[in-house]
Amino acid sequence: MLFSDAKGRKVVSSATAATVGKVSRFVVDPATRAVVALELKKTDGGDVLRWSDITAFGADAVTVADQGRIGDGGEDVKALSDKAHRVLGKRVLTSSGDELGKVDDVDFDPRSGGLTALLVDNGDEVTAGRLLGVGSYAVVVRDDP
Amino acid sequence: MEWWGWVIVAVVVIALVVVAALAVQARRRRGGVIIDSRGQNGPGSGRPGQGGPGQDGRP
Amino acid sequence: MRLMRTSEITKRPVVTMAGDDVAQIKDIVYAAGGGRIGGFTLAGRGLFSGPLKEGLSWESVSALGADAVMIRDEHVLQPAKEVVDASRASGGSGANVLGSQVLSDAGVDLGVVRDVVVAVDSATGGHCDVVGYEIEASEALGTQGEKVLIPLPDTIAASGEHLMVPASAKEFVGRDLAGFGAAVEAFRAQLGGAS
Repeated sequence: MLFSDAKGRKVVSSATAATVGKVSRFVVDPATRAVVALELKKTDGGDVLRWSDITAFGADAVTVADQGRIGDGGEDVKALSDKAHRVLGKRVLTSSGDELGKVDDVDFDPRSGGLTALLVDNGDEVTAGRLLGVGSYAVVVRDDP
Repeated sequence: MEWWGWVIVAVVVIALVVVAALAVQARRRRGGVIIDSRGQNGPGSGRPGQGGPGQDGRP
Repeated sequence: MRLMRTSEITKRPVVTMAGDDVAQIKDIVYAAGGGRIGGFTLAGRGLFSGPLKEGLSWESVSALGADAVMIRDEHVLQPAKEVVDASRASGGSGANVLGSQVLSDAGVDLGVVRDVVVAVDSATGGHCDVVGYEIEASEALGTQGEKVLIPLPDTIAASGEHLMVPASAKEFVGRDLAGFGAAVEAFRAQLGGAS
């Protein structure tokens, strides 16, 4: 599933069958190469939903047990939510110091939250396994031998 | 001069100071190529190979 | 072997594997005998930043690419004076060869040094060496204003003031990097050591 497709998806509570928010942004942990939380908009209270609190990330909606799961995400998620850790639109640099382009989109597994690949605006597809770090200047990926 | 005249003067002075600071720092960041005559090293000097970085092999 | 001009390397960002640009390259420091590059002095990245007190030795560089100089993390940076005597790096004066006058040992002004050419080794554990200078020719060379390349072994000595070359070195090799590369390879082969 692509970030571009999943953005804007409604988040529905299984307890009340009501829409409790919409997916706005993805919080990624470069160390585990996985989505660790979703930043939401149009919620009643709180704006971060941890991946572990999601029941399922479906093709038409994200389901959550109850609205109370939406909160501030916790300290570890907050640390990964700043601009330095955002992936979309960031420059892609290889470990040998050459720029590939900018991150156009990200492909992830909706069952585990694990990243599959980064899609670069020059047409390249970088396997998530090559991801070395995400920082203020660039997303660094291992050079393709 | 009216009070607003002084405001304009202040704004212009601040702008000049900012431009000067930017120019001075840009000049200080400018780099060159420095020849260091402390030691002798390089190809053909018989110095043992030092542990250096891996390089991207580009033709 | 990959040839680069130092004008391309100056101002290039120094990026950690975590993706943060911690500095940019200021000066490139090389040894007088042999031209081996010892390291770099650094400047900050912001609009209002000046030179940093840290420098980067060549051994700490993970990769020198077309768009960035990669390092493992910011802890590999060391005090600038370990890379070069601090007085030599100040404000482009002192031992900066750029802008120095090219003088033959017969005392004739042959031009001005405008750039320096380096060769980056593609092998693992590779090194980086100055292989020549790009000069803007004076009247004496008969090609006033033209840019010509002179290989390092054809020079006698260099300082922040002059680049000394033998009076006989009128046939400067190469006007483009491609032909220059071949001349450098030939020089290396002569020395008998594989690069």
